[in-house]
Amino acid sequence: MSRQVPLSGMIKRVTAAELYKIFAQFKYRLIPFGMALVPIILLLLNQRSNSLIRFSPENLPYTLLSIAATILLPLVACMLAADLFAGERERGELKISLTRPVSRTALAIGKITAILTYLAGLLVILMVLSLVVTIVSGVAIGQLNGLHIVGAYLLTLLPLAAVSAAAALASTLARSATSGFVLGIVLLVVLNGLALAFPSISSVFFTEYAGLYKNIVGAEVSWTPLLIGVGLLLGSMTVLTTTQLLVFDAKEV
Amino acid sequence: MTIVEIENLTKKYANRRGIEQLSVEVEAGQVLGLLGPNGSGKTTAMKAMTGLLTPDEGQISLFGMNPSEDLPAILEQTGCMIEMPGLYPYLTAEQNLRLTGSFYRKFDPAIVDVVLQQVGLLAYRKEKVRKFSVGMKQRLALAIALLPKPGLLILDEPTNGMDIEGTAMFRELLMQERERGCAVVLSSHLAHEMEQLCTHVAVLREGILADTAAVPQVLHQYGSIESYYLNVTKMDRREVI
Repeated sequence: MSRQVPLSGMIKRVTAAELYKIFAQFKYRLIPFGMALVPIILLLLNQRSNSLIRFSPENLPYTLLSIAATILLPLVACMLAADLFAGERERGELKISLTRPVSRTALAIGKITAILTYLAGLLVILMVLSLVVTIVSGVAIGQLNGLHIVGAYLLTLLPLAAVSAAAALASTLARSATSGFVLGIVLLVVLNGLALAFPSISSVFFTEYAGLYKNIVGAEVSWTPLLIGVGLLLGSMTVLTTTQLLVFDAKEV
Repeated sequence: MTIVEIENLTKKYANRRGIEQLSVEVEAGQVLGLLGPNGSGKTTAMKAMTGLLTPDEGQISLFGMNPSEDLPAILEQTGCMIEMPGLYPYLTAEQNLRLTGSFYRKFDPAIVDVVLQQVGLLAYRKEKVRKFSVGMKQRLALAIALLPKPGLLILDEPTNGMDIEGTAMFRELLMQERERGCAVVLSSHLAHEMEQLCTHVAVLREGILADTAAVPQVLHQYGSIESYYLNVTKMDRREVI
């Protein structure tokens, strides 16, 4: 007798459960507030005449997106991945999920989807607040290209998905939440470092595409670099997720 | 109806511990007690049954299905409690149950109160698990195992850390599950507890099945499970079946 349980349903249930767990923890409820402070702090700094940080208010949504995509959100992704994979195994909580009627594949994909959903929520907060701050700074709504801004934020989900997959892989390899977090950060730093050290081959590292959105915000869309970036990110995501699934599947708890 | 069929199950760790050529069967309404010292392979057998470990050799069939192919379908109707469970400390007892229940395709939230009542934690439903004692955590883990109205319960030392009331509650609960037709695989170091709960016992020693017998037969022949266990474990390893 064989009875298959649909994978999509399992992933959906795992994602919902993981998001519930994430938001049940105080630190992850606090992060969106911290993230919301970033545009406000930038606005205050920009208003001070002796401030070192100066930017043109109409570019604030992109300035913030750049900071978020390269520093803030990868850090959050590593933190979440460390908690949901290595941390749960360390604390024995993974056993609870693994003995529920979901496959390991669904469990791993559901966790990564939950991480990405949380990051997407943070991006929405940043985008809305950056627009508010831009308007408060005196920029007319008509001067802002809303479509480009929304497109840029949406497109940034792609490099963030690759970062989440890498962080999940690092955390799956680690023994504890702390080492999972550190390993995730080290992996991203090393990839960035390699790209800096070897500029001729830097385009093969997915970390180079955090600024993929720049291809769509100019006067014209730069299709060739955009498509190369999308292809490389999708390829990296596939490789990283497959490797992570294989490692996760082989882990004995 | 046979719920559990294990044939020649082997799982060895790097330290050469584990289980070797284990074969057991459990019918609906039967309670199989796994007896054995620490490191004898009881938890390994249970982990292999629930897919937490991949066996090196042998066959496992639960509800006529193979865990390596149909694990989610098996776990839809199996309640597990393996080793000291890692519950979510930042959630309340009720939230822990709702969260674990949400993994099931068909989950009726009304069952949460029913299982909390069964394990005697209804009054503590709104308390965070981080404030719970070991015994209370064991009770909650048992409630989680009962969530799917299981046809099979796999319980690894379920009364560890429980007080006398908790142990009595557990005994009563297991009897109810047995009468309902649920098959149970249970491990414990407490021979007296096994006597009251089990229909069959299997003695494991150094990963090998030393003996298996029906409890009434054991009691008739040896007077108690403790005497039976001590007798079996005194046997030379060459006599192991």
